[in-house]
Parts: sequence; structure tokens; C-alpha cells
Amino acid sequence: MLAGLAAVVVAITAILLLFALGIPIFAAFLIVDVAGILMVAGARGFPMLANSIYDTATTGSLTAIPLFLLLGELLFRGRAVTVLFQSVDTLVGRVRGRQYIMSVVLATIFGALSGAAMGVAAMLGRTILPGLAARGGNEKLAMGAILGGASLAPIIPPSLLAIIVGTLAGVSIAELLVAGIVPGLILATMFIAYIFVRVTLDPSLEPRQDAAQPKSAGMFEMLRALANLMPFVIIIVSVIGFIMLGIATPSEAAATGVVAALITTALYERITPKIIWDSCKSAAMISAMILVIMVSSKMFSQLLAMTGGISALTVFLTGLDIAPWLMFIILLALPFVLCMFLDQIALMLIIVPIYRPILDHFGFDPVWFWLIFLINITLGSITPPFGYTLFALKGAAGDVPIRRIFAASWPFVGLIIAGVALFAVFPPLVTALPDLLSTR
Amino acid sequence: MRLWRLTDLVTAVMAAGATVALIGIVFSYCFEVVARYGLNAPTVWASDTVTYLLSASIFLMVPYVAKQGRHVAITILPDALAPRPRAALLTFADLAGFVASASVAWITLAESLRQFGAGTSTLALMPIPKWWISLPIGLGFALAALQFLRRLDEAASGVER
Repeated sequence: MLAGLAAVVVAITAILLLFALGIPIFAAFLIVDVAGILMVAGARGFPMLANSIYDTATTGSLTAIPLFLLLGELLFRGRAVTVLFQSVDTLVGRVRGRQYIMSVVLATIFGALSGAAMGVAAMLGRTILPGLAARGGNEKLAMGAILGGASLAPIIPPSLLAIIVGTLAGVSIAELLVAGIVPGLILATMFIAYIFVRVTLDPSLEPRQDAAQPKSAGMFEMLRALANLMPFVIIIVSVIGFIMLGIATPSEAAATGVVAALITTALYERITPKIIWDSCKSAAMISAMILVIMVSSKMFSQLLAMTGGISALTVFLTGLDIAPWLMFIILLALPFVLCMFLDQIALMLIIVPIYRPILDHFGFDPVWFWLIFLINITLGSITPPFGYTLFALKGAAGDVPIRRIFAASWPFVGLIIAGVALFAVFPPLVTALPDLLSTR
Repeated sequence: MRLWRLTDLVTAVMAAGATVALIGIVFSYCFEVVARYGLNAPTVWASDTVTYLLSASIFLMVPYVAKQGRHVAITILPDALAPRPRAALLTFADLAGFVASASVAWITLAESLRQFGAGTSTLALMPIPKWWISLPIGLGFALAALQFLRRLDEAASGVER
């Protein structure tokens, strides 16, 4: 029987090979699970697989995933999106580089509400890019702004990936969600500052005939735009506020957020039972796509533990006697590279159980580490040549050559790396807010 | 083919069940928050019910996802291939989906049967027979296996992918 490091190498090679062949990720995990059980315990071990699927599928914290998806589905159907666009447009006003700054702000807000970087990149690629290009704007800078803003989706709450990491790593989901607020806002500010500097140094980057440029919005328009944004702000703040005040668990806060989203949608248009049903069905389908992978992968990590693979890997890595900061870089470099090729969730399901004992050994703060880990894997998804989000933007942007999208992403990849370095050196930027929660 | 029509009908009914389960989760949580903070009378059923509904929501929807061909896969390699090898690889992926779903359906349904025979209950404040919750898992995988089989049948019939 395979054991120790050999088991880890064989299992991970097998799963990556099955992924590469285009087999559905859940099926790849199940095939390795069944084969692994047959090797370790024979057919009498099959009830272990049934129980691991049952246990994961009935994990209460995971209910937040379909609920946050439903929240986004309700908001993104119908006129609420248009209202959000117009309000941000008015509020950004006539600042230098407004079109690019709007791209960052919209990508950040949509990212927060939807939690999916690829979806945001695709949506803004379809809506903002064509108009900007027609007005002679710099497409490359706009695409970079969209990619940068979209990459904040897994960090700024509500974040699906934070729930998954929290569940897998045994870290408080509430703390992980709250921990993303400050880093997300810092990164968004860095993106806006970069755009502002670029446009100031090279005014030709501004669209030459910005037909959409508003005359300075008056106080009344600004107030109206703010009022229109309030329902969205109330949803985000109430979800996070409920969690921070300890009134509700993340899942309960998500459920009350769904009700708030329903009310918000009803404010802007006549909400029909069909809209509600379609939103629920879509959210249930997307969450099934995600969660069937999670329930299938649990046995994989259990097999690695049963064969002594995880402990052997931990002993090996901790025996290298390297400085914690170097281990930190190694632990982040691996998912950064793999995330260019692999689905983020699949990668987390493999890596998180392996990393847990290593973090314990080196004494890394789990909330701090896993939040930076989240930023890191989303960075992988906008890094050429294989980042998933790049291809989502390419699909939406039509004729734009992929090499131009690659070139657009590099400055923002650099900014996010600078941000990661900042959060690594100053942990309180990540941990200060979660420290306010009573559980820490 | 009559089998596929029946498969699609059951798939649609199960997807509707998954959607209702999600609505049930929203209702249960909201009721719990109101009962706990508004009425100072927390329920004993909400926390367990949402986990059962979550499991049902996942597995009742899995066949529908298979039917739509929406299960998450990494398609960098198939996408880079010419049409014929691409189609061959996608057929292989569906075959793997069928084998995985069918074998796990058998494993989980056998476990449900064992729980039924042994009278196993859930570990909860209000215990219920465990097979009530585990049965949709096996049924979901079984129907997903049929949907993968249907896709293989379509590929064999020359339906373009």
C-alpha cells in the first residue's frame, strides 16, 4: 500500500491528470476517492465515502454559499444593475480618468455583491469596454482596471471563497469575511491611485470625446445618486454588521440579506414570482456546481491523512529548517502558479487540508494567512498566460487580442503583489477588524 | 427515446425540489432570527433543518447540472484541440462522469439501505431517520449517471458538442 510522501505525490498527480483531461472536477475527485479506498481498505471502506459525503453536505456553514448566490441573483436581475451603474457614474463625477475609475468602482461593487471575479469581468467587458473604445479611450488601461476590480470579488465580503476556505481550514467564517474589508478597500484605492497617476502623466489616455462625461452633477443629482445606492449599501452593511455585532451567523446574515435584496429589487421594478423562482433556481444550480465538488473532495483529504501523507509532508517541510518568512513565500507561490491552470475551488480543496498543520507548526495567524491566500489565488486567476478571469474578459471583449489583455493585466498584478507584501508585513491591516469580533 | 424523456422529467422535478429546498433554507434562517431576537424563543428545529435542506438542494440539482453540461471542469486542453480529438476527449469526460456517478450512487444507496435496516437516526436535537436525508444523495448521483449516459448516447448518435 502507498503511504507517506509517495501517497501524496501519486494522489495529487492522479487528480491533476484527471483535471487536465477535462473530466468534471467532482467526478475526478470521486474516481480517486473510490480507487484510494479500494487500495487502503478494500470495498468494506466504501461506507467511509458515503459518510464523508453526508457529513460535508450537511455542514451548516456551507448554507451561506447558496444564500449569497441568491442575494446576487436577485440584485442582478432587472433594473437594479442599471441603477447601480448610473449612480456610480454620477458620483464619480468629472475626476481625471473617470471612465477607468468607474471601471474599478463598479467592478469592486459588483464583485462584492456577486463574489465571482469571472462574472464581473465578463459583465463589465460587455458593458463598459465598447463605449470607452468608441470614444477613443485607452482600452488596455480600462481592461486592467476591470481585471483589478474584479479580482477583489473573493476578498470583499460577502465572499464565497472565504466561506469555503473557512470551512476547510476550520477558521471562523465570520472573521475571515470581515478580514477582507480593509485589504479590499486598500487594493481598490491603490488601483484608483495608479490610474490617476497614469492619466495625469499622460493626458492622452483620457477618452478624446467623452460624450458620456456629465456636466458637473449638482447637489440634487449627487444626493439622488446616493439615495439610489443606499439599498445596496444597506444590504452589504447589514450583512457584515449583523456578523460583526454577533447578531447573526454568516448564514443567518446571508438569509436576511436575501430578504433585503428582495425588497431592494422590488423598489426598482415590479417583482414577479417568476423573477424570484428563476433567481432561486439559478442560485441552487450554481451552488450545486460548487458544493458537489466540495462533498466529493472531503474523502480525498481524508485518504491523504489516512495514508500518513499529510503528516509526512508536514514533517518533511518543517524539517527543512527554513525561516518562517521563506515558508510563507513558498506556501503562497505554489497556489499562485497552480491557480493559473486550476479552478480556484478545486485548488483550495487539495491544498487547504495539507497546509493546515504547516500553519500550526510555524505559528501563522490563520485569519491573516488565509485572507492573504485568498488574495493570492485570485491574483493567479488574472495572471497571464492561463488566468481564468483573463479568458472571461476575452470572451466578453470580442475582437481584443488576448496578448493585449495579458499586457493590460500586468500593472494590476504588480499592484496586488505590492498589496500582498503590505499585508504580510503589517498583519494588523488584515487582523484588526476580526480582532474586534468577540470570538478572538 | 422513452428512457431519456422519463430521465428528463424526473430531473426537472428534482431541480424544482432543490429550488424549494433553497427557499426553505431562507425561510428557516429568517424565522430563527426573528424567533431568537424578536420573540426571545429560539427554535429547536431550524439549525438541523437547514443542513438537511442544504443536502437535498445539492443532490436534487446535480442531475440537472449534468443535463446542462454545467459541471465545473478544467477545459484548457480540450479547448486547445482540433474538433475531432476535442469531441473524443469530451466523450471520455462524460464516460468518467458516468462511472464516478454510478459507482458512488451504488455506494451511497447501499449505505441508505443499511441505515434503513439498522434504524439509524440523525445526531440532532430532533432526531429523524438518517436515510431520509441520505436517500437524495444516492438518487442524485444515480440520475446524474443517467444524464451522463444520455450525453454519451447523443455523442454516439453524432450530436454536435
